[in-house]
Amino acid sequence: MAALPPELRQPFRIIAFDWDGTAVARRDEDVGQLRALLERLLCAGVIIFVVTGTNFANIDRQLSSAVRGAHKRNLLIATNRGSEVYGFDAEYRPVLLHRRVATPEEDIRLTTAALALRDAIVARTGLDIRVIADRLNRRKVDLIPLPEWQDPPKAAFDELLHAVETRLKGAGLDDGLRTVLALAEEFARAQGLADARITSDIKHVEIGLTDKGDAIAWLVRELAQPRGIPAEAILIVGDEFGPVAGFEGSDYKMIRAAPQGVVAVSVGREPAGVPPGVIHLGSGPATFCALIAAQADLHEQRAVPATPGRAGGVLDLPVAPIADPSWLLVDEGFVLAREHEIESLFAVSNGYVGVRGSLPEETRLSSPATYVAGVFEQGSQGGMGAAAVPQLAVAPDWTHLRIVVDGRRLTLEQGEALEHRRVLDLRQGILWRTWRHRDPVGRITRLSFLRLASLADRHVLIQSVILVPENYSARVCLESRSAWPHHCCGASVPPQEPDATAPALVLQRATSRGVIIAVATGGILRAEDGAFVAPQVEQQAGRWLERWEWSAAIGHRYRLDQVAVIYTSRDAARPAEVAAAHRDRVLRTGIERLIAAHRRVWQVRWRETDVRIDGDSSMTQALRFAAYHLIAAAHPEDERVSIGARGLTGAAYKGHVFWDTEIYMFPFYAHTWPEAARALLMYRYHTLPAAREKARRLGYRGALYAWESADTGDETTPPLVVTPSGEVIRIVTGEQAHHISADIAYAVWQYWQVSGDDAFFRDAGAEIVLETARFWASRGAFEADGRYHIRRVIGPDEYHEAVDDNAYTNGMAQWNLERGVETARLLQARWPERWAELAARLELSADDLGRWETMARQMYLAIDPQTGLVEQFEGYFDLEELDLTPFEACATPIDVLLGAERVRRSKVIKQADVVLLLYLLWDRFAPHVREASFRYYEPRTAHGSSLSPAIHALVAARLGDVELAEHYFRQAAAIDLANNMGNAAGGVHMAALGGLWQAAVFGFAGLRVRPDGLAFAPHLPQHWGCLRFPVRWCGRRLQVNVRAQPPAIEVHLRDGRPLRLVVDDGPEIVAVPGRRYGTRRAGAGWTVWQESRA
Amino acid sequence: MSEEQEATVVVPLDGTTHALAALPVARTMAEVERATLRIVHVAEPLLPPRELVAALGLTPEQLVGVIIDQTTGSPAQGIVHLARTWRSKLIAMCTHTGTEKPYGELGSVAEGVLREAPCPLVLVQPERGFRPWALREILLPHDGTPATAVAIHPALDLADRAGARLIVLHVATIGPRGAVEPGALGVPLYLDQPQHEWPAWAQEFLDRMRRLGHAPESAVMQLVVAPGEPGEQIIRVASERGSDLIVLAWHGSLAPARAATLKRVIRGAPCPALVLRIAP
Repeated sequence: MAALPPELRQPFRIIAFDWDGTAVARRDEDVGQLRALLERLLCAGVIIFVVTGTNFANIDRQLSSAVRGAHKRNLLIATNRGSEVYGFDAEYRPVLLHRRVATPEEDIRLTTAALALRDAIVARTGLDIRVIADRLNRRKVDLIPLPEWQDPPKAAFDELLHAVETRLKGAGLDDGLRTVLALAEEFARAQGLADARITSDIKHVEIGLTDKGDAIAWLVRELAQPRGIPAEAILIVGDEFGPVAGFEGSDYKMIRAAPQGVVAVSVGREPAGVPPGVIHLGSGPATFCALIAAQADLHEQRAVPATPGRAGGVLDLPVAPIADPSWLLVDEGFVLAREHEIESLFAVSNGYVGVRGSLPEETRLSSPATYVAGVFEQGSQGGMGAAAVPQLAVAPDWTHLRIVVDGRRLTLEQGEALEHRRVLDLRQGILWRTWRHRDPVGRITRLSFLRLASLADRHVLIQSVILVPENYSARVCLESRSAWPHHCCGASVPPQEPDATAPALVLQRATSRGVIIAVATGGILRAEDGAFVAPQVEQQAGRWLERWEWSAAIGHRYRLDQVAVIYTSRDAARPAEVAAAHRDRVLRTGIERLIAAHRRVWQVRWRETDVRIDGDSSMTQALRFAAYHLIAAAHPEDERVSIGARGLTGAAYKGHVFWDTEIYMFPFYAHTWPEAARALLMYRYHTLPAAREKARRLGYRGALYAWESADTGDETTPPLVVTPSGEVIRIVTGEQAHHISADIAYAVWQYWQVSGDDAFFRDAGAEIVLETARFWASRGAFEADGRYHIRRVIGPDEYHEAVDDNAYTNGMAQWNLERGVETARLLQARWPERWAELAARLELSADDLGRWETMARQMYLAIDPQTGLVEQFEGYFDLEELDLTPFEACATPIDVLLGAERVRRSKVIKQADVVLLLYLLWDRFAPHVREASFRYYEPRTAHGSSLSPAIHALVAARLGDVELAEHYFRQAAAIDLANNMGNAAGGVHMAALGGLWQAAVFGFAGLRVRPDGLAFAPHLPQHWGCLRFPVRWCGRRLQVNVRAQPPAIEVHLRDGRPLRLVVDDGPEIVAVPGRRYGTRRAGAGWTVWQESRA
Repeated sequence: MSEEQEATVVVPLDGTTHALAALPVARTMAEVERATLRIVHVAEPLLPPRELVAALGLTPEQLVGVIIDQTTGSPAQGIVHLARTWRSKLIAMCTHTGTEKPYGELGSVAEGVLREAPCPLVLVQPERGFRPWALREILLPHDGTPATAVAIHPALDLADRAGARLIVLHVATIGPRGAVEPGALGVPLYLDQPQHEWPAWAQEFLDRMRRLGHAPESAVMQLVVAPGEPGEQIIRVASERGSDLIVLAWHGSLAPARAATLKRVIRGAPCPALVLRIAP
């Protein structure tokens, strides 16, 4: 298609179009390509409005039935020539939104008029003319009921017109079709149908109550106007705008009903030309497709909308949510029981501080909490006298806002919520809320909220509220209370007297582990006329109150901007003063600038991160949800903290750091945000002393990292738990889960490989690798068989404790020992001074390295040469076989159902163990070993851990079992989003989120890191159009697009130096920065890489 | 009837020995509720007082502090009518009074009362006889749904007045997760680290139930989880713990495919069962 005229080079918010002839040439043609384009627009929040004369079933069959996902709600179909409009509900089912139903009297009149028209034509011509009466609100008169013209295609328009005119005129009807149309009007009027719609598709003349104009009128009235969409943002596309036989084209009726300013385009032939104002492109559905593709590109290239909230000078929130639903997590309505889950899922964090998505005015089931990364309290004593373990400290709830209207507190639990919606805007890192509430006396108040934890200035938290009294004027009071919580994670927090020396509105307290937290709060309330309402400030024991009270006028808008600034004694010597000064600066400059900076940083992060699956918007949303929480959990500038199992989104797991970080979350950071990855590893470097101490305490050398760690790196695993069934379970992971040391070494090595950060490796990473290798050298022993054995450990499969020679542990220890030797030799060669210093301090000698090599070589790893099976641990194959099939859909974990002991005696495993080893050390195992072991362990895995499904998705995808991979991928995506797992209330599952990203990139796309570049071996579900993701490697930025059908890979090396690309161990190319390269599957292999156009 | 009317507990007796088994339970419940115990007898003809006492088989000790009402007509309707008239706090009666076990879970009168009762109903197995009954532990089975959470507050109130322990029993079912009511909480499907998962989940379960059930913050409840089929597990746990009362939330239908747990528990409960009708 030639370049589009300027009017069409803007992104439209509504695209309405005729179906037959415009979008498709035939009703039976495949519209897969068009559907994919339309779905891109739907995902971008564009309303797609299909207008057709036919019924819903025909359009559903051809188009809408295959559209699935939240974006389907933006699709509407107007059928039966404007008599009906269908939309789709949250489960993608059609919903009738509008139907014009003829009265019985109107039906009789329509039929009578049509019969009169037929009789009149027959009387004048003697032709066979037929009436079709079974149409909603209309009657069709078939002017050419001949077999050869039964279902004429649009392409045969000229021939049809000629045939009809010849038939009518040849039989004596002067002026042919024009006469018929005039007669139709006359008979309709005679029947009292003054507003009848007379239309024609040449073959038929129709007398009806509605036409396409009614569909457009509904669209404007019900959708465009309520949403404030101007006429200029509406595009109408058809193929029959120009006159036909002297009558205006059927699509012109759409323009007649539209407000002035809409943009109209014809892709039809239009032999009589188009009316003024209609852009004529011609070429039918092909042009239409190109037009839609251009629109999709325009929407996807569009930047985050810039502060539309102040359009027209109306006081509004500083920014608006993004329109594309695949960037939004939406909770519509209010279910009190779900509150804790919603608070976790909708948390806003920035790696320094995390804020649960609690409702500011609180409910019975609110659990507001603000956590500061790395700041812990000494927790309460565990059950059965177990020692206390640290837990994340909770800062004062700065989000709290009591709303009082005329003395009555506004709460969701009293009165009626007319509208309530919470939206987590993943793209902008903002939590939105709209709430329209009728209180018990009938006052309606409209409120809009935003909340964010600034990614541009991590100490700053912002909450902004717009309040509008819709039907009343009254005294309104907003009261913000900042107070230390009485309880934190079950432990009492001692009351704090106000610190007389602290600045106003600053709370400061030392945690029981000696860190001072200072929180400075403050707010500004202004009315729409610009007037400010001064707050009253009160200081009470351990709390500050800031209260704004004023006479609010009906229909007026008021905005409260609240700011909280948090510092700790780890950041500043006098955190209260620094926090107060920082808060004052923010309030002085206003929140707009800060929010703009926050949005810019999120934009940058998403440019480096966003994984998208064309054709699967729900999985795209799940991947974005995962990336959102991963981005929000990391702090590249703080080397003293790591990421807990639930991030900063909830109290569960007490903020403790596990192997989850290095094995499940870390690859995301290493490949998209190396600065954050480095900081995570530095936490491990700084906690090396604690790891050495743990090793020493257990009688080993080197570094044994804590299974659970908090601020110091000391072991914080609770020693036992009393389950609700009364069973006391001794927790042995703190004593036996030693694989974590190798996991951390693996992450160090991975980071170095992916980032090329030599300085980190030399100064920190190498020491971790050496110390963990030294641990493994002391952990096992050579036995009579000459092999190196590691006994009495617990592997990732935690159903089986105190096992010998766990394959995962031994495999990773072997790898760790090898890397230890490699690290030592590398240091000797490249940084001899550093080696000398380390060797002296760690007492490492050449003999040690020799022993490590032998240990690694002789490491016991049982692989059956016949079957290719890796035995998970010694004696595993002798355990009881237990068929998991009956428990597959079971709502209860297998160890709860059958009891821990029964499961221990069986081959049932908790999570990927050998399968995880296969993935991490992929190239060490022969293909038949990978295949056989996965097929063996997969059906024996109960997935009792949220860490398991994603790894199974990844390995299944690498093995080419796409169906199974997709099953596990969806299972992993549902862990937090499905609302029925029962444990999101305590925070989101960070490891599962990291695993989901890995499954997409390392599994489906098959990305693997090589010393000199990147390799791909993709296996995509066929219905995924394209998997797109950015990735970083050694200072380079790449955009990778992997297509499913036909299989193809496109790589755009955006910057950096050349690198080697390999596909499926086949064709290679050295890619040059700034260029794009593609390859596609050809038979069993791939074509050579070719440079492609941008 | 005046607003100041005293609280009552109704116990229907029909003159059988079985029916008398409900009397010790009703008496204790009346004491706990600080209510007047009213014995209801529905039969024709109406009997003079002494003959009535003899016909019901009541001893002088059993008559202390008790009011006896007589009425005629359908027994179930008569009991329900009087319970409504007296705004009874609850009705205590036997599951059946005939010597034969009924075909279903309940005798026809008990079933009729259950369907129409304006207040909670305590069903007593006739096998428990005349032994005195004390309320020291209440077992409240709970499926984790918000709808059932409304049973928490009455159960807590009762426990509070009786000085009894309240044990909340959640049965982790073997079958697939069914259609889930929004906000329903079952045992976590993933137990990544049990040392964290179980305490967090138990806290969440009790928090949700407490807050949804409008229970006071100070209310003490203990959570117990048992895997298996709900009816069987409720009976097992009640037996093993020696619970004195099982409180069952009921959606109001006894249709064949409904209320399977209620029916199973009524059939095999080792102690009286209090049925609280909740919104369907």
